[in-house]
Amino acid sequence: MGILAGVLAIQGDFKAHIRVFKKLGVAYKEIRSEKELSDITHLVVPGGESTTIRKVAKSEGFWNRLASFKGPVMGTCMGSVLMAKEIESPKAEGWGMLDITAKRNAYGRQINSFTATGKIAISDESFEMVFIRAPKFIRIGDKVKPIAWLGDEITGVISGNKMALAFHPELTENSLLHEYFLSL
Amino acid sequence: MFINDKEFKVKVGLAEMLKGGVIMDVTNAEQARIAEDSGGCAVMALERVPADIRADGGVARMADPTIIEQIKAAVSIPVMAKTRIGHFAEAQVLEALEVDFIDESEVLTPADEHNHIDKTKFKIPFVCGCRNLGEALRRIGEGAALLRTKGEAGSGNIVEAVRHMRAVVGAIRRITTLDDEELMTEAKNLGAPHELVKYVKEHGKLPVPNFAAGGIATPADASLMMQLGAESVFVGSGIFKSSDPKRRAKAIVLATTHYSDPKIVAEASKSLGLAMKGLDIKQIPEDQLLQTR
Repeated sequence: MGILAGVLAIQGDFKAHIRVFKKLGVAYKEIRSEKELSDITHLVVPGGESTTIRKVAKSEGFWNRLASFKGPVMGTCMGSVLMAKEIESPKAEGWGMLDITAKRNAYGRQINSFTATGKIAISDESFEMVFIRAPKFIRIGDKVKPIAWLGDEITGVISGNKMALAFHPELTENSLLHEYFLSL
Repeated sequence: MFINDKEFKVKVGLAEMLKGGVIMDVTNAEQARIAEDSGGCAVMALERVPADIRADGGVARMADPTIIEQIKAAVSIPVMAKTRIGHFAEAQVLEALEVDFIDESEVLTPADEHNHIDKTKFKIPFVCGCRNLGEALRRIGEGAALLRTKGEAGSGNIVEAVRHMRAVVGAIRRITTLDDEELMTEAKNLGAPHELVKYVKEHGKLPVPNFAAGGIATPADASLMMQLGAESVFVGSGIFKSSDPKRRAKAIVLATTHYSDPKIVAEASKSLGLAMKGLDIKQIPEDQLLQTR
């Protein structure tokens, strides 16, 4: 079966992920409703505002279908927050795809947003990481493995086919993490 | 040019995160909470919504820092605030208050009739209004990380936002058909930096996101602007000057996400109560138009 990457397009930087899939020549579709989930193999949850996604997806009963998606899922920034078991600042319900606690806006407001060079587990090369009002993973469960670091800080985690990144690889030209996600 | 710098990328990055969403004008913490609960992806803190500024007259300035701080404390979504055009000291205050975005806005009374703020000097990203491509590229040249149509704020009338969006999108389309030799003359005619005109020809789009603002009052207005090429919408007076702000805010959020699905826009438009009354642009005396500032 071929890959069909679904990108959650309720709100956020979904077009930036689509740009990466176009570059990689991968079939993709925008996901705005429950029925659009039926034929995708992979699900991307982009950056954006989790309160908006919660409001729109819940009022349409599509929240639980997202939470129980069985295929590979990659969440960036807000996406990583929604994938978490527990969410802080403020406390909210996540999808529980990963046994982690994500703290929203943990680096501060936009004035504290930045880019930096970190490391990823799948490559020896350094990796540019863009942090926009980014979350931190303040608790990481035993079965969850780190996949990205900024200094000593764990900025990306993986468990099975679920990968959560606090930064935005979709805003850079490096598509290694997207390629790895598609191989899951 | 700075548009490839890392710091600019971080500014544009926040604008990217706001795509497909609704940014709502609020004047206090309670309205900000309503905006967040309705699914707004950011709020714009200001003292009076544009319709009231228009009705009250007088000088419209940056909001009281106390109001901005109360709004910041009330919500977890990004908080924007408006500075007067050219008033870089107000912008410095807003940066010191750590708002997430600064709107150098024609809705407030301009402080400088000739010059806009040099936005490259700030760490906080700026959004500016535009009526056409020349204006858009000049603002980007000054460092704006996000553009929006000016429309006619506080009018509840979408006609000017449509005019401005069509002007920008149409001019971008035209530039992609030009020869390289024609770009300098085009830059001269637009009054825009040559480098940015070149960028538009090569990419077929602006180097920053392009949102709609000014006159959006209904879910269908939001859908119209999104279909015309806006990547998000700002709603000013349209929400809190309507009879049922909560329902209307939620409906405009739904219509913005599902802008290309008329059935959902129809559903969202049902029984919202009265929209803001609105003004015929032709009835507004020319010296009271906000968009020409």
